[in-house]
Amino acid sequence: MSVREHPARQRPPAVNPADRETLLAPSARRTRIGRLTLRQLSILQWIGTLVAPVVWWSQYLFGYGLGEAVCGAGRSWGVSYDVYQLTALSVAGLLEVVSWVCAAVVFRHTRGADWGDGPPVEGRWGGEHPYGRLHFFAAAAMVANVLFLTIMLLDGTASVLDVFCRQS
Amino acid sequence: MRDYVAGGVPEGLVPRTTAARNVREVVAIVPRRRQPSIALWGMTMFLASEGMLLASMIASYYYLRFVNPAWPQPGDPRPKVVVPLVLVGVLATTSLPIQLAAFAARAGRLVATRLLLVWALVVQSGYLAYEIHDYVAQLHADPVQHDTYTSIYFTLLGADHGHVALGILFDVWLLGKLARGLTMYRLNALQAVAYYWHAVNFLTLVITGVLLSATF
Repeated sequence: MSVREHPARQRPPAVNPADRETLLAPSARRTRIGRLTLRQLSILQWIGTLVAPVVWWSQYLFGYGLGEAVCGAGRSWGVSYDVYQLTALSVAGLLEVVSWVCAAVVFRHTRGADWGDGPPVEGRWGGEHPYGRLHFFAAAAMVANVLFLTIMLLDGTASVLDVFCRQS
Repeated sequence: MRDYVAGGVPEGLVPRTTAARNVREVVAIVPRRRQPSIALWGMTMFLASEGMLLASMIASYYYLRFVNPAWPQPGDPRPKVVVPLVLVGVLATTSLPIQLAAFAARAGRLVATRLLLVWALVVQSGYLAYEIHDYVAQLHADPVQHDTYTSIYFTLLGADHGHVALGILFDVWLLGKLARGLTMYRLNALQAVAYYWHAVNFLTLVITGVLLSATF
């Protein structure tokens, strides 16, 4: 495939230093953005986007089930409520932070990208690769994951500090 | 700056998805697209959030139902069955013209796109007009603060109507944009709005089913 000078009016914007990417390789496995390939960034992006809500939901269900196990009438499972709640909160919080870091890595690597369907003449690879999608989801995940972490902290600490086994 | 290739074709020869600013360019570019637009991803996230919100409302509904011995509670009218079912059926049919409008836009048939959108808009507006009239009448008969049944009933129904109203605003906005021609942006928006309507129609079916479950 020939390499030629590109007319100035059709040039994509310089979103990353040109020497940090493989310009002639549209494959997601081979195209590098910095030290990571598009495929690796894509995996990190989905981890950043999906892990946090799944972890939050799992922690919530676990906490609810634990409350039922401890407080349910006529049941005595010998479960230490506070220990299990705090363990669940710690594990979920750790996964949440990992998820946020994944999103931040993708956000940093795709910094400068437009949203993939931005104004004419923008968009790396003419929108052929999910570069804009990576940046979009990374930005959304970074914000959402902070909210999820806040919810989990409030939920977990309130479950321990508040009086439980109380008729609602 | 060096050139690069995209999909095996020199980049200079590949029309940019974002550069299509008339019907001819859109029709040329659409077959080359390999990724859903960011608009569609954004709508997916929005719908996931809204779905979660409505799911929590539905969970609240059933929680309240199962902790109350009588449902609806004494003094509350039982929900009507036939009219809501017919109306939700009518609303669900609007997924067809909306989706056809998206297909027509992809094919560059702008007039057909507008007509199909108008068809959907008329039916959706009629649905919402009747539902708002009915909602207000029900509120007067049995106020929202009467008991837990009315509070969750009107909250669920109101949330659903709010989503229909938002969809109608999307339609009007889209028609205004499409009146000035078709661009890739507008096609992206149309596809996202079509997606929104499919989800809203599905959610309306679910919410109607939840509310009518009180009759059994």
